[in-house]
Amino acid sequence: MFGYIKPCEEELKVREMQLFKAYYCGLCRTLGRVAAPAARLSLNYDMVFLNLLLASLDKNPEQVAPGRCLLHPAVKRPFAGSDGTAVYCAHINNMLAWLKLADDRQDEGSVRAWLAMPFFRQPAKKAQKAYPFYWDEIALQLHSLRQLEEAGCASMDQAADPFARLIGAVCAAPFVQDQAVKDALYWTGYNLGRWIYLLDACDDLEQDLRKKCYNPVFLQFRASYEGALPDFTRSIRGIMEERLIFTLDSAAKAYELIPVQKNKELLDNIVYLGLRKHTEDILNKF
Amino acid sequence: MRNPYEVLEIREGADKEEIKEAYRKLVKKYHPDQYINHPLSSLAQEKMKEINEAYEALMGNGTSGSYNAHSYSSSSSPEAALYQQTRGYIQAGRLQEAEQILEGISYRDAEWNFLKGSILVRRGWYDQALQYFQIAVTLDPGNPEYHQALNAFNARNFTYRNMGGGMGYGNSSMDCCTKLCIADCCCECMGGDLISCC
Repeated sequence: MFGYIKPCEEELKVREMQLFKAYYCGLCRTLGRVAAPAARLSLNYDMVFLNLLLASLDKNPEQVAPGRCLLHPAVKRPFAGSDGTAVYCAHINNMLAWLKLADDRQDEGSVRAWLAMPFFRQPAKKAQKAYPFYWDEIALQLHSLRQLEEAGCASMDQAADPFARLIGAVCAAPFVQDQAVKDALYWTGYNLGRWIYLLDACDDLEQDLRKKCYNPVFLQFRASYEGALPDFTRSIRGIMEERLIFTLDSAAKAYELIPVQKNKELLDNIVYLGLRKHTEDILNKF
Repeated sequence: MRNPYEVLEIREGADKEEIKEAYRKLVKKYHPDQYINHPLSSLAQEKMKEINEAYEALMGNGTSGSYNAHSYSSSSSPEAALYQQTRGYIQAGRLQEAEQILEGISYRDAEWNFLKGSILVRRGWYDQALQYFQIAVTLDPGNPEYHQALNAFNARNFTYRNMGGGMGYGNSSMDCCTKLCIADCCCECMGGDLISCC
């Protein structure tokens, strides 16, 4: 995960910002509780959004209580939600963290990944035991992703598919009973995953080109590359913006079909403003 | 049936104007045109039905401007039966079966490209989908259905931005009217006129 799914702070009410922070701290604490303190380092915004979205299906207001944490011992902070939803998100977070490290290790022989792995082994094992179906699904999709990348897949649709499926599967949480809601969650997730993958490819364009690493966006438009990166990025900016915004529109359309019971303003802000702002921020660097 | 006020997202006892306003807002959001070739279109249709029923229950008549799903006529090429079958599968969300039929057809006309695009959109492969829609329109420029698919595709870039715009995104820059006024002033300075009445 990349931590791309964030609210647009400028347009957020103070109360909503506090709630978002409370969810962040709540999930962080849950991570420490269900796994190990080290697992808390791997928390990112995407998981907080997932927790917020899944928690919104429940009509009852979340429990927000002030508390202290190790990293910020001086001031009491609000913590929200440490129920089943947060536990699920924490386990998913740990699966992704572990499988990503294992992937980096195998892929690039990353020493950093190798050093970090011992801290995440135990949390990952617990997560695998708690949600074996999701473990298998994530591992399967990461495997197809690596195969596509190794084969140098030049279609960004195809290259983004495994990661999109992965996020879709994760969003369709096991405790959601209604199939229609599950479908809406899956499709929101699929498009968010696709957006994350493609936006990340845009973000890494320069670096990948320099290091001669795989980049689906570059390969898709290789024909218009004439040796100069600025000319290339200028030529693809418009089309990438269209593709990314279209993907966000599909995510938003599916999101509107999820029966959100609370925190709609905060979720709307993330879906319609935060994601858009992030897209524009990255493309503006082109 | 759910509480109609809840469906329309308004307080109980809202007056007719408020009901109309809320209804219009929701219809705009969930209208089938917004969900053309979206895999959840049937879900959106159900939602739309619920909204229509709630509106009719509150307004006390059955003559609201409720929408009907469009139906399309098929062309009469040799592959027509296969295309019809493909459409059926696409409607039912059975994309793999639909794709299998298409792969078996070697003569790839406009309809073939259109259907291929429809499958890819529903799968989330938008970049390739757009290319197939464009080919379909090029091969058969007179077909309104292909044009509609392509236009709906292009329009969706705006619907997302409009939602954000309505929530205050990017309000710091000038809006369209301000720009027009300034353009008019500039023209008048140069001796011409853009908006004749002011």
